[in-house]
Amino acid sequence: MKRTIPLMITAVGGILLIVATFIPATKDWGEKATIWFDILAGIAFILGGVNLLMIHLSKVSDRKKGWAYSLITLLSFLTMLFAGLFKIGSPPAPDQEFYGESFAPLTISQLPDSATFTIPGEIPATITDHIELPASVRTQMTVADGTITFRGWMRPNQLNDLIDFSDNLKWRATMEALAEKAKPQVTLTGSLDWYSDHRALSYGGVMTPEDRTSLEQMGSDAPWKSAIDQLDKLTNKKISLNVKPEDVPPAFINGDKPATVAYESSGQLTATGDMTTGTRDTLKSVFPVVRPMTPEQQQAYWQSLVDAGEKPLDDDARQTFIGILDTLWTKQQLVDIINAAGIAKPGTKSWTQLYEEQQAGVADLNPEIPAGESVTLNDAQLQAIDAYIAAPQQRISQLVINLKAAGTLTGGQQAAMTKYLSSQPTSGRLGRDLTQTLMDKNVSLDQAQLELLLGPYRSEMVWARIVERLFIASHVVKYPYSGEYNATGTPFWWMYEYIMQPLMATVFALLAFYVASAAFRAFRVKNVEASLLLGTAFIILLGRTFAGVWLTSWIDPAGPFSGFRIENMTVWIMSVINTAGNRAIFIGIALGIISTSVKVLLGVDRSYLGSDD
Amino acid sequence: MIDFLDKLDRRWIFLAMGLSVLIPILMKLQFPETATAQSQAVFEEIEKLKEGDPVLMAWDWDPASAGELEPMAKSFVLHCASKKLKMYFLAIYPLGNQMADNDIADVIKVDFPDLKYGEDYVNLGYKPGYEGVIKVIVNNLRELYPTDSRGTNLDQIPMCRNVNSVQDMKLIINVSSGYPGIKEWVQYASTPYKHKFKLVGGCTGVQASLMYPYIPQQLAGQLGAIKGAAEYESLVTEKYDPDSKREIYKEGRRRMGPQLIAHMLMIGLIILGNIVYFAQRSRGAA
Repeated sequence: MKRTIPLMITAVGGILLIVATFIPATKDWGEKATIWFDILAGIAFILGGVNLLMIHLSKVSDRKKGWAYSLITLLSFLTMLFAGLFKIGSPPAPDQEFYGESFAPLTISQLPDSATFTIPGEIPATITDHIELPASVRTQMTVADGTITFRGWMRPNQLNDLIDFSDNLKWRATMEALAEKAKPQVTLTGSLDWYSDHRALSYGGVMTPEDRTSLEQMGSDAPWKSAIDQLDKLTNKKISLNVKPEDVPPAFINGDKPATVAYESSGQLTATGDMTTGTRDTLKSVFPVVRPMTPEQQQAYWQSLVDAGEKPLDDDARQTFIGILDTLWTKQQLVDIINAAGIAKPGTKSWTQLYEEQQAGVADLNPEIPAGESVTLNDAQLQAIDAYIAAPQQRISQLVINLKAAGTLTGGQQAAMTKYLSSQPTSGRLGRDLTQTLMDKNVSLDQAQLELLLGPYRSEMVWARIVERLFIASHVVKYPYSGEYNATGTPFWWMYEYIMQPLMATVFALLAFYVASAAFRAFRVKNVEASLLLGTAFIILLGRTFAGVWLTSWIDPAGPFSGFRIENMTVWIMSVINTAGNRAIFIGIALGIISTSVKVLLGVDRSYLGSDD
Repeated sequence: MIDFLDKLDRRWIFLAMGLSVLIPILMKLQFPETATAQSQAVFEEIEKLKEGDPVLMAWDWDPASAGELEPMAKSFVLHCASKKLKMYFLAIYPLGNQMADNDIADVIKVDFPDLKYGEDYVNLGYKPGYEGVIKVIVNNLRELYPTDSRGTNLDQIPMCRNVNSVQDMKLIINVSSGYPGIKEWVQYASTPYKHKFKLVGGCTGVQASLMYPYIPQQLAGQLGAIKGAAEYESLVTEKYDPDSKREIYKEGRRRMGPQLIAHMLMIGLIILGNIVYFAQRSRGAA
């Protein structure tokens, strides 16, 4: 029995794979057998680990020769296993943490009835029975008896998956209508969500008493109320950091602050609830961007650098310095970007509109909505931009308000302008770039000059670190083990990067030394075959380097003797002689494999079981 | 002299080999590279693809072979990222996953920060099972790869939603250091499905000669060791990164300097060994 079962597994598995290769109808069988093979191969790793432990533990316990090496092997194995398996020091995966949202456990059955949305409809007849609904909605959506039911609130990605599910226009229009229905009430839209994969109710931002009342009115079951309680506590949790007043930028103190972050003059920076990445980025970018400089302003900046130091700076340094300042953004660039974003583009009709047109008998459905009128900046808006350039401390948000007050500013224009201005350097980044460029040109700057250029950058970095600390402190970790075991900076990564990788490369590199020694000792021209081998080796060794090209470079590459150029001889040897030899060997091996396989499958050869048969 | 050479301590040979590698590295010795037909074929096969075409990047190598394979792996990533191809990394070699992560970090994250994980590139990770893995994923990727290497469901990764098997790829690029590797990809992927996609690859010098019988039908082109890497690197950087200051894109050509001197040393040692051999033989005959 001990031998019969492995023999049977081998025979059945082998024959199945042969059958699956030649009979297309049985392809799935072969696939299943291969999956089992892959699972067994995975298990083999565990067995290998156990085997390694047993062998080396026994060697250490018996104090056999080389036991110290076994001890090192064991310790290395266990340390890496421990570090990798328990993800020591691994931060949680950012895409699983839902920064800015708080979670409370809630199953789909615990969702209130008010979160159930229905609409008449059916799965299109073109979709066959065995095709399942998209994975993102599978647990939330049911289709039965001409009614489509959705539990929870539909997210844009779920709607996209449902739209992609079928190209049937009625289905797409129905899904659009369902998505319109499956929304939380207006005051909660954008804050409330339910994630089927996480079985959790989510709330983004801070829950106000009004929001809590609205949520309580949605359901009265205990689990629902408990989830609201938890979310209320989490979203109103306050986290404070003590910061030095001089580290807080004036632009933050005097400017508009995100509603969830407060600063007290005593030096306490407080965040309420889980901070979003958007809030974090807004906080980090409180420093105003540098405005375009006139030649006089450029000269004044240069002079301040010269005056700050004791060493003179030459004209080349000045040219470099001014050259960098010349690359700053200009008013015209900003105006062009806003006007370009205001050019009207054709829109797209909704699926519902298209379906209605189809029902009305329109033959050629056109999904395009003609473009409206383009929007360009007026004179008052151009003056608002001038005012922004003249006021170095004015925020982008204030410019948006001024532009809207002075004329029309579309959402696209606002987004394009904000993106453009946000990507421009702050005084800190400009100082850093100037320092880097001057140092690249070997301009020597003394301490006071470096301080002038890099001081603002240091302040920006200190503030960015404070914001990052507050962001992390305000976040409640949802899945502590969701990170990668080999994330940069973890003990596993360190051992892999600085121990395993160099050791593997070193051991392999030793080959070069032994090959050289062996070539000197053993590569002898004892007979004709050895002479042929030697000649071939020389050609290949030369042909794989520039030496081969150089040695026969005098032969015309387009002439009749170009085949005698060493690099061409190398190619010929590899693709003709080598290929012919290899093919012969491969055919021989294939025949050998067939004969051995037949013997194994029929149980004639049992040597793989450790038998002497 | 002959007796001295006959009894030469091998540590002198080790020293000579060490110096022949060290000196060109320190002197930054480099030589021009002209692409051979194989490197050109690999380059052209990738060039034929259009923006957004899916490419499977099978990274089946480990740090032991980094000397030969790392430059070509980085050039492959540079080439595909420059052409904005959709890159699907995976590994059937245990440490291939880490090598893919390294290349993503060194090339994509530094030089192509606009490319997004999950939309432009994804690392599906390592799966044990040798060629068994290839046999399954050529027909059904999700059977063995329900998630990427970070554990995200493939259905939640935009670029994976419409990928059901390797047959949905336009090209497979394999970097291989042994078994399982390029030979297995030829036997179990490109041979049965040669009309669906092409396979190109790069491998160690030891494997390169074994792969010639499969060229060009089953293997459209291959880069053999550091020589192939240097040639391909020249082609890629010439077209997509001519002014690059980054050393990682010159690494293949930089490693050809030590290779030249080491090969010359090997030839010298073989000649010297045979002089000793013939001298002793003639002495014995006399």
